[in-house]
Amino acid sequence: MYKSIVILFSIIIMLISCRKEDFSNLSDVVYIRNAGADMPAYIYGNASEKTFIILLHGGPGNNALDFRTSKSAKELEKKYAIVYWQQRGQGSSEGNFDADEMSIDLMTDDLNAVLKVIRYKYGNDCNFFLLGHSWGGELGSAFLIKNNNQSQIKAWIEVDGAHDIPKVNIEAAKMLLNIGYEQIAQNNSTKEWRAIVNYISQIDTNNIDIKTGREINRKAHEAEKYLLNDNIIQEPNGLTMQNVGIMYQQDWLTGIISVTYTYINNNNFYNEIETTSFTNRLNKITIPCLFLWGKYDFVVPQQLGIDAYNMVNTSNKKLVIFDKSGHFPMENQADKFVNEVVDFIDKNN
Amino acid sequence: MRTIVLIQFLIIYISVFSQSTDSSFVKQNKIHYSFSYFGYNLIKPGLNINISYKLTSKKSKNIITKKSGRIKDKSTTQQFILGGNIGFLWYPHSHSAVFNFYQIIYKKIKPAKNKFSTIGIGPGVYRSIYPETYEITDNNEVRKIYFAGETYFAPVLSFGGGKNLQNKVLKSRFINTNLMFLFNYNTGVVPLLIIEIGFKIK
Repeated sequence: MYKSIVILFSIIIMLISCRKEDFSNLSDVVYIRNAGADMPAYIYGNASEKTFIILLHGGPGNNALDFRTSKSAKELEKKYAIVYWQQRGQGSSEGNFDADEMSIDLMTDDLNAVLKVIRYKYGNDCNFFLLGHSWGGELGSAFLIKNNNQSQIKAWIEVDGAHDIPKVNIEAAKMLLNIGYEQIAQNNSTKEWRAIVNYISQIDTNNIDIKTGREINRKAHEAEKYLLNDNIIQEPNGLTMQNVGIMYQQDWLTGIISVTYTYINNNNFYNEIETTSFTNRLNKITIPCLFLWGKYDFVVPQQLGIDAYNMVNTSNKKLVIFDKSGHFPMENQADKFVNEVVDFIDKNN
Repeated sequence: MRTIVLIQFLIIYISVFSQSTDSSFVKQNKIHYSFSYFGYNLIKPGLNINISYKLTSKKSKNIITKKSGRIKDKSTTQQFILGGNIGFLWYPHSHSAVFNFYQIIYKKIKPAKNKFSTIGIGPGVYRSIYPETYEITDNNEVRKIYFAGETYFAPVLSFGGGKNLQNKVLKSRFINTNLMFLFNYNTGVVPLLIIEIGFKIK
């Protein structure tokens, strides 16, 4: 009796240990420890071709899993694996590090650590596509122009990326004014647009300080809501049960409080983000590039996409403007977004 | 260092409370046990086991006779209790955590209504436990870390209330709101809001 129990137990252990991971439907959680931060990477999707989209989420302060609630993510996961990496001090990232040590440079080291760990876990033949949205565009640009980092990446996808915030502020102010007058003339949300136009008119666009920049950012988000209400921007897909599940998985309350400490109270890092411009260094990028921008993105206006497209040093590049989108084309025009990303990845894989 | 502190807390917890289950304490009705659902933001599940020791108990009689002749019993019992807690939290498809905290609890009982309210405060430790974890070594190599996690100093502030039950096993039911403050979480402090629903048993 005792003997048969031992044999049965051994067989079960062998079966469990020999179980081959299903690469076509990954659902993994891996923590990456680097320089005091413990950063989870949630990896979902189809990795049968070893193609990984490394998502650089926005903010700083957003949650990587926000992107997973979009229809685009669901479609992309059918073809590729997406690595939802929570950047240090954000989302459900933990650890213990000094706020003064925070810098864009340190976060590019974190990204290097993520790539190393993914390769270690899934093999050296992994193909990495970097997808940066908003602040993720700034982080991705910083990563790609540093050392020889871009040699690890197959291609760069920048979605409404803020690689030059001083320019973001100037362009956003211009755009709020132009579109504002246009909307007032068309009798769309007139009262709200007047308030925005009045505020922006008083700004000296040649001298925008950090405080004013943040206020412009707030107005930019407001403006997008008005365009959504007036059906100029396409309504994102509704809430699904899967989204509810993802929101449950997100540690949003802890994330918000933690990020307040890490970023808002750390003025040095925040100032670095707000004053850094990568536009003139984008010519160091030589890998294939895809720039995806919402026409009505006031948060990071399309002019930044046009600049990036012109600056990168590759002939394999494409700029797509989504005519019914704001700052989140992956939500506003999900089908088009997915088609563009899939075409680009398949072409460059 | 933090792991050592955590282990010390656990050893103290086990030794103190295992010794104090001495029959004389139990007979004096000073030791109580309770178990509870311990949900972070209510919805992230966890379990807490509590052992409490009644330090002081003071009854104050206050019976009012109304003009109508009705008698109203407004007597109260005030107690100070020492509580020890141990449990875990589960963050589905992410990670989990274990915790251990101690509290001084002030409890006010209204015997006439069989109801009570509590407020407690005290220190604790919280250890998050990560799944598969890797780090980059100084040689720029990837190394797997076993039993990875982060330990935080975690004082807990609780307030709540409940009702005594006329049941042989379940002596009372209670609901508590706990604020567990994790120091140093990333670069500062993070409070966890934990709703606790449980029963006190003999």
